[in-house]
Amino acid sequence: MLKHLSDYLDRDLDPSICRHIDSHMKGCKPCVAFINTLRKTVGVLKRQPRAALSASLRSRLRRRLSRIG
Amino acid sequence: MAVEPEAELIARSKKGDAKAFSSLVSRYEDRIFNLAHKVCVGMPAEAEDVYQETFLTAFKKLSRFREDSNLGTWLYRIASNLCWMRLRKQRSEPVVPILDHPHHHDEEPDAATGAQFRDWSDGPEELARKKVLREAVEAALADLPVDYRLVVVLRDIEGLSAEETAQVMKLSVPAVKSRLHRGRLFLRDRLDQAVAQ
Repeated sequence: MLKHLSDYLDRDLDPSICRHIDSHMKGCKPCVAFINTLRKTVGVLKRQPRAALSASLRSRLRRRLSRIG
Repeated sequence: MAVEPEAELIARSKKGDAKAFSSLVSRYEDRIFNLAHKVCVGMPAEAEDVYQETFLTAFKKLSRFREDSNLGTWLYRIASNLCWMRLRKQRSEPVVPILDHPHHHDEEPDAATGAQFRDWSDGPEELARKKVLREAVEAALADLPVDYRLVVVLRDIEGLSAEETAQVMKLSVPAVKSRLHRGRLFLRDRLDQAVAQ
């Protein structure tokens, strides 16, 4: 079952396997805790702050591009 | 002012029009820089180089770009290749055997294995934990081998679909899903350790 958990979180899984996982989750606290932490891991990744591109680096690239244009 | 269609900008760029290409750069540079920054984690100078080299390479090789392809996917591919080459040169590139032999991940996380899992949600500590988790993600990404790191960043941070990620990485969709899952399991374990401290 574990190998399907990412597809389960991404809702990219055969419905019959989803039902099997849903059914298992109802009676298995360790699995519920595990999938919750896996879900949070994905959530933390999705909410990582975007890297800030500085104006000076943007300008530096434009200068290099203009030299080869 | 009307936004110039991307196809026209590409056609002009292919003729060597640096101004047109600069307009294309403006559309994609934040995404490419974020990818480079997240994959070359802890190496800001490398990330800046990858960002610049991606667009310099793209401008030089634009004649090879097919109009029926997706420019964003093509740029992500160039950037991913540059990240991969730079990180493979680094002596510090991690080797994580657990990813090749994830034996305990193939077992059920239940009482049969004796495994116990925290749920990371102990009320008032949750806010502080969010900061801890964000920082722990950076540290964990740095320890994740680059082949897995690229897939995790493309899928979970950049938000590409499995199919788009497969195109960027030149992998099958099942291979992308496998690497993504193993990468997530690795990161989950590391975050779990961070929460426990």
